[in-house]
Amino acid sequence: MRQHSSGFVIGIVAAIILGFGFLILIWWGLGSISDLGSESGVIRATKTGPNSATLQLSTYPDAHVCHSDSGEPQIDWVSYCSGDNGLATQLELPPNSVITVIIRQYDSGTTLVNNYFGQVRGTIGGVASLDGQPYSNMSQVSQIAKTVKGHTFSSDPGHTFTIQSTPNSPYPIFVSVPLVGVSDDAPNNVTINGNQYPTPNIIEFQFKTGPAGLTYLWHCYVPCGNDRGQPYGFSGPMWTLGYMAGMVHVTNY
Amino acid sequence: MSEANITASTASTAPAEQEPNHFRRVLIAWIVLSVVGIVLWIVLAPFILPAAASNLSSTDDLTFIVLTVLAIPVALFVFVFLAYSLLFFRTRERPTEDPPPLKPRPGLQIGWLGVTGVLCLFLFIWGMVAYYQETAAAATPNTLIVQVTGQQWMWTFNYPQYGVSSQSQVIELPVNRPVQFVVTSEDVLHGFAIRALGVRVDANPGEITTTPVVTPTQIGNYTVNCVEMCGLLHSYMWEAVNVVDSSSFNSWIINQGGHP
Repeated sequence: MRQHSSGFVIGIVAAIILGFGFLILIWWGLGSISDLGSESGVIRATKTGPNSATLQLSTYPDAHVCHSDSGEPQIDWVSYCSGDNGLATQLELPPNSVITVIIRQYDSGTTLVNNYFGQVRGTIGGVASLDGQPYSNMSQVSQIAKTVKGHTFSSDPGHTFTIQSTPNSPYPIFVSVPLVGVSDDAPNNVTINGNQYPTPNIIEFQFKTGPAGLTYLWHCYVPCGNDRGQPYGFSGPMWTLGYMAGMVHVTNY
Repeated sequence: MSEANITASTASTAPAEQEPNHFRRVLIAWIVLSVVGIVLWIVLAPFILPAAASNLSSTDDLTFIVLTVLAIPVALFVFVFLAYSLLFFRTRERPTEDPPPLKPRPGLQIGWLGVTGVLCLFLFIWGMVAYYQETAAAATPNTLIVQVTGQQWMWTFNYPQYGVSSQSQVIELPVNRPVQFVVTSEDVLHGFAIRALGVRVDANPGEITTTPVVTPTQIGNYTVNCVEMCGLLHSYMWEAVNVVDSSSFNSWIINQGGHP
């Protein structure tokens, strides 16, 4: 029988151990990636006609409604939900359709660090509506507040709903709407799944989708993450899928 | 590889065979491969490199081509000697004695240091000249200023001279007009890069960095990418760059709500 040196045997053993270690690292890494987001099922816009659909979303100051099984700190993270239940970060929209987006904004305002996102961009008519009143810029909110009785607004957006194209998209879309925050002193007079929130601001706007098969990214651009300000306002829910970021898929259904 | 091993290896197979001139063989292989590699690179480089659409990118491409021409023989020197040694001096037996000690060869040492020193000096001088050429141009009143803000995961653009922001994920630039990008970030480190224009600068939170003045010379559609790993959706952080004629640029400014 051929004799091997002790160094050769040690090398083989070390290679096997390293190989297993490498596999464990890959396994661990894949597990970490799954922790980067908590995507649930896809939320589809409700078709209202052959070329129209409605998408209803809500934004909350915490994650009790749509991440009720989360622990700390995720349970305190701001979150987008599908209406009043369930996650809403994987969206499906019909192609070549006018999409009416209705967002109930339960969260208060946060000072923008980039005023670019204080303007409504890319919607049909370049406007959105706040409790039925049209606006194209956050600067118009104070004027709207004078006409809407019994409801006060923050002068800052709580979040933005911004859809942007993926690299080299054949049908680029850019839609960005600042979601006016509720006033800081608004009373919590709405109960949802046992949680108390203020009366939401209803923000509505429309945009048009392109052909089927395209995927877009949506994201919030208000520093609404941990500590709500720089630099940590862009951390936590802001860089985790399932809270303030997700994907939009244009598909036939 | 020791001479003893070589002798033992060759003696076991062909005792009467004369030892070939390995050095000459390797030298010839190195020279031939280097010439082939350099010629191939010069011929193929225009097809491999992205479009050069500005004065800066032309300089960048020339620098890249020259440095690669110099690197090819250096890299091949290592690889050819290594491959030749692995191929011709291989042996299955374990060495039974130490190889002969290496003796100092001043000519080789001085030559090696001299060649690498001259190469490094050439690279340094070339780099300094290229750097001066790229950064010497100062902004003039005609220079278009574009303010760039990076956020996870999007770039936004303001044109302060026109009082307007780009309404979508697009930078529109007029051809043959100097432009300077004033770059910052609102959250983490980003990297602002338009490869076709030869522009690349870090976007730092709380800081403002500027690119050299660059003049787009080719009408076309290009992209700006983030080149610093900035988070989960970093790979989606891109925008379109459209270089257009001046009348189209003015129309675009009006469409964005500005005044040309």
